[in-house]
Amino acid sequence: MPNESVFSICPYCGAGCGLNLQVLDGRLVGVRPSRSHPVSQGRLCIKGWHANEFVTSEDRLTTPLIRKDGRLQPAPWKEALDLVAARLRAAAPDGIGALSSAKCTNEENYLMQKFVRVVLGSNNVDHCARL
Amino acid sequence: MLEQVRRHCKEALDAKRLDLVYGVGNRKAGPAPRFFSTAEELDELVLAGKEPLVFTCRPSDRNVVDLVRERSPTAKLGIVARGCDERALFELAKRFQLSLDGIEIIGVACDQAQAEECRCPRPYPKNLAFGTPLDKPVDDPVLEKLQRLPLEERLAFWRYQLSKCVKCYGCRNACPMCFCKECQMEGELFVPRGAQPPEFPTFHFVQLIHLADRCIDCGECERACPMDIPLRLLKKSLRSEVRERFGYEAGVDPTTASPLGSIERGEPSHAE
Repeated sequence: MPNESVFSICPYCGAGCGLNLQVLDGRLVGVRPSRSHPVSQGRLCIKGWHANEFVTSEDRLTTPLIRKDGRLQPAPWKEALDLVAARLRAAAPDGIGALSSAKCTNEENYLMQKFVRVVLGSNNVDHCARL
Repeated sequence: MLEQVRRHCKEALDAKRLDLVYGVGNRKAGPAPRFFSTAEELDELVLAGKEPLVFTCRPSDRNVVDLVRERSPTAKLGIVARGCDERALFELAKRFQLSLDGIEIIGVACDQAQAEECRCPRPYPKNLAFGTPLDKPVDDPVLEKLQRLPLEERLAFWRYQLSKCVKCYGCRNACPMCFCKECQMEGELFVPRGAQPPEFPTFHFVQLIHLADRCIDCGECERACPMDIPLRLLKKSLRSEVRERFGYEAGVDPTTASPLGSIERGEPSHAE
């Protein structure tokens, strides 16, 4: 089939609007609101209307980046995670903040804030839907 | 009627008169436009009234039919079109956004209930293959009521309605006739960045001016508006102005040149 309309949920915020992604030869070429979706009923916000565009964006991060010599450079995951762990251990609690996601489950978000508050000792918790 | 349309399309595919059929398919997640290439697939064809077949894909700003035709340039394509779908195809073809060559429009008339729900001025296509066209146009009671109000009240009405705008660009994105590479609704000249709500009435009028002889009155702008702004009333008024002044109705036929897309000898602008 040359063009498919693939149902999905908008990845941006917790509202979870229904999308019909337009796929041509395996490439995302557009997005349409899903009229039958009970949450959004055929309407989208400005982010949802462009929800297909970040997938193939050249600005998208595909590997961790570590700043070396004043420049962000690609790095393997192990090196990046070790660095983050070391910095978190070294930082004062108020110097740490965590951004969670509206697209995680309640349970994951609960764990996130608990980890930040109890283990790291910081109240700096926020989430992506406020970006 | 659905069975007749399916049979017609299946026969056309089997006889290789068509290679592809474009229409609305039923899915678990609700009906959506799709292309059918086999007779079996056509069992999922439905005549669900609310899904427009012609729309612009972004960021390419090209309509879906043109994109598919680019991929399969020699494929003979049948489109199971309602009146509004056909109007979009005609007007896009006039503006070189797609070619109607090799396309068979399999026109289906909408019934009275559907036409009233859509407040459709012309709920049947020119290439009518199935169904009976409604013999009298569907009136728009909301528009008639608004047009009876004094000018100041109408202005106040629109001032309030357009102040609800959250600048989501849904009306522009949903419009099958909006395909400009550079959209003036995003241009800093008319629409200052960060101004919320956008300046009255410039933001919405930019689109209206561009759609003056293009708007096919499909209602997609209004359906896409999360703030329930009755955008279609504006478009309908505009359409009736263009009809009265230029005798032109967008989408009614594929050949008549549009007033903004043509110059006639003797026009003041046509300097010798």
